[in-house]
Amino acid sequence: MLMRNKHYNSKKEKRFNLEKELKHAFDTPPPARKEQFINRLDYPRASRFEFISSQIGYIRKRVWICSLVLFMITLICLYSTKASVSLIWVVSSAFPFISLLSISEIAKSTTYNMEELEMSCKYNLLEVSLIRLGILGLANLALLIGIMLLLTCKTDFGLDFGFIRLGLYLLTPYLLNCYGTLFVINRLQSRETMYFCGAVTTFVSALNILLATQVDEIYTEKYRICWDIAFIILVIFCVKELVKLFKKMEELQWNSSLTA
Amino acid sequence: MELVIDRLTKQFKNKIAVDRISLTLHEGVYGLLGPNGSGKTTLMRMICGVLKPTSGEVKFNGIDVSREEFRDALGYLPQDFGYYPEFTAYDFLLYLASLKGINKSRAKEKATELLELVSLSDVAKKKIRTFSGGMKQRLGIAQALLNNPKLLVLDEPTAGLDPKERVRFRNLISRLGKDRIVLLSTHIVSDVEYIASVILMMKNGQIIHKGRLEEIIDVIEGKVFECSVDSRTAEHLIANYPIINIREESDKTFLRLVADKTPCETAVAVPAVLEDLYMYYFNKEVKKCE
Amino acid sequence: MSLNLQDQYDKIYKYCYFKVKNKEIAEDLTQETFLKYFNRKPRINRGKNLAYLYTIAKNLCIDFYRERGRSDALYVHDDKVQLQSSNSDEVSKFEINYAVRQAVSMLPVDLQELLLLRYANELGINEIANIMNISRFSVYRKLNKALDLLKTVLREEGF
Repeated sequence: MLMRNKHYNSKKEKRFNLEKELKHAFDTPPPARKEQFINRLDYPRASRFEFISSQIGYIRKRVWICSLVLFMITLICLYSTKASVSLIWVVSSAFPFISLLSISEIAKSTTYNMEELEMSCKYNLLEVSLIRLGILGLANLALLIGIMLLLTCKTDFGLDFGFIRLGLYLLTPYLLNCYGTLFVINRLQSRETMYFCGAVTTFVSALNILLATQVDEIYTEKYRICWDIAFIILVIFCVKELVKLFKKMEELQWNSSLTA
Repeated sequence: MELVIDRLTKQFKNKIAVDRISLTLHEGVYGLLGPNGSGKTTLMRMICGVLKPTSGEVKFNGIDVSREEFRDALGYLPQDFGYYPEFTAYDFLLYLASLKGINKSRAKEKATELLELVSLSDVAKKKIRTFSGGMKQRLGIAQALLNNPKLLVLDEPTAGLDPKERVRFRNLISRLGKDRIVLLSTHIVSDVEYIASVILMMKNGQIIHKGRLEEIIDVIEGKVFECSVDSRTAEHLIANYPIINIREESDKTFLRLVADKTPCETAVAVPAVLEDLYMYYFNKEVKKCE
Repeated sequence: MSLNLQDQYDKIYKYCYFKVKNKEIAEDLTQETFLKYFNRKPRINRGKNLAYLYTIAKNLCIDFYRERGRSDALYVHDDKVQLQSSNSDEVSKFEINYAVRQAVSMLPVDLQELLLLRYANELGINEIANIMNISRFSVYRKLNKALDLLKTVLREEGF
C-alpha cells in the first residue's frame, strides 16, 4: 500500500505511464535455450536456379546497355543510310568492345581481389565464373545473331556472302579481342590490367577498321581463306586461354606473398 | 563436430610452408599463434580449400574439404580482401550471402542483423571505398558469419581494430566458440590469451606447441626472471640468454629473460605469461645456454 | 522490414508463454515457429513477414491446446514472476507493475492478447489486424476498450 503523502503524485504518474507499464506487464522469465537454438539454426538454402538468376542481376548494367546500343545503332544505320558493305566493318569494329565488357565481367573477381573470399563459398569462384561465362556467352551470341539477322534481312549481304560468312566477318575481330584480353588477364595481375585490356581492344578495333578500309575487297573471295584460317586459329587460342583462366580459379595462385 | 587435419603439407618450389601438420579440433576457440612466415595463413588457406595441399587431407565431420558441403559449413575471413567498386556494406553482404546459397529474404534479414552486430548499421548504405581499415575488417567478420558456419576460420581478424572493437570482437568470438569450431590466427599474443581455449604455436610450418594456456606455459614456468643490472652484466646476460624485455633505466638496465637457473644474483623469478613463451620461441637471438 | 532474430525470439516466446503459461512448452513452440517460418515455401509479401511469424505461433499454440486439452492437470503452471526489491523506489515500481498485471489478467483473453501484441511486442496496427484476423478499426476499438477498462480498475485501486 502506498504511503499517503506520495498518493497524489503517484496517481498522476500512473495514468501517464500506463502504456509504459503495459510494456512490462507480460514479462516472462528469459528463455533458456535461445543462444543454442540461434547458433544452430540451419538457414534455408536457395536452389541452384535461384542462384543462377541472382547472378544475372550481378552482371553490370553496362554490358546490357552497350549491347542494346550497338543493336540500335545497327538498326538506325540500316534504316537511315543506304546499307553498304562498310556497315560490316563498322559493326565488327564495335563488337570487340562488347567482348571487353564481357571478359571484364567474367574476370571481375580477380580484378577486385575477391577471389579468396569467393573461393571459400558454397558456390565458389569457379562456378560463379562459369555461370557468368554462360550468361554472357549466350547474351553475346544472341546479339550477334540479332545483328546478323538485321543485316541479312535488310540488305543484300545475305546474297553476297551467306549467313555463315557474315557471322565469320563479325566474329573474327571479336575473337581476336577475346584472345588479346584473356592473354593480358592471364599474365598480368595488377590494378592496371583493365587499362591494358582497354588498349588491346582499341588496337583490335583500329586494326579492323584499317584493314577494312585500306584493303579493297577484304570481304570477297580473294581473302576468304585468310578469314577462315584466322577464325579457326583464334577459336583454338581463345579456348586455350579460357581454360587457363578457369584452371587458375580452382585455387589461389602461388606468388611470393603467399608464404605467410 | 570434428575437424581432422591429417599430415597436411604444402611445398612451394623448394620451400616447405606447412610441414606434415596433423590436428583434430572440436568445439571451441583455437588460437594459432606464430610470427609472419610461420605458415599460419598457408595452413588456413588449405583448411578453407583456397589452396590445394601438396599432400594430406582435411575433413570436417567426414566431409572432405574439396566438397561443396564442406564450404557450406565454412565461414572464412582472409587476411586481405577486396570488394566490387560500387558496393555498399549491405550490397557486399547480400552478394556473399547469395554465393553462400542463402535465399534472398533470409539474406536481407541476416545482413541487417550482422551489420548491427559489428556496429556498422549506420554505414550500411555507404560505399565500402569510404570505409576505414577497421570498418572494412568488421565487415569481413560479418560476412564470415552469414551462413551461420559450424567452422569459422579467421586470419588475423583483429588487425586494424581499435581496443574497444577488439574487446567486442573477443566477446563475440567467445560466444560463438560454444557451439562451433573457431580457428583464429594472430601474432598478437593478447588476443589469444583471452579467448582461445587451446593455443597452437606455429613455427616454420610446424605446430611446436599445442595445449591450454596453463599447459603450454608450464614449459617455462619458473624459468622467467627479472633483474636490474649494470650494463656489463646486462651485456653478458643478453649474449647468453633469450631476452623477453629490455628497458634502459637511469643507471641500470632492466631485463626480463628466460633461464633454467637463476642467471644472476639480483634476479627474481616471476610468473610466466604467454608473451614470454612467444618471445622464447620466436626470438631470433635465441642462443643455446648452459 | 527484416527480422532481428535475437529480438523476435524473445517476443514470440513472450507470446507463446502468454498462451500456454509454461516455460518449456513456450520455448518449444517458439523454436518450432521459427523453423516453420524459415522453411516456408511460397514467398510472402515483405510487409507481412512479421504477421506471418505470429500467425504460425498462434496456430501452433492452438494445435497445442487441441492436443493437450485445456485441463490444467495435464501441464504445469509456472509460478508467478517474483520480483525482489530492496529500496522504496523499486518497491513502488513492483507494486505498480503487480497491480497492472493483476488488472490485465482480469480482462477478457482476446483483449489481453491485443495489449501484449501492441505494447509489449510493439507490433503495428496493421500487423495486429492481420494476426487477429480483424479489421484495423476493430483493433483500435478493442485497444481503447482495454485501456479504459484498465484505467477504471486501476483507479479503484488508488492508482
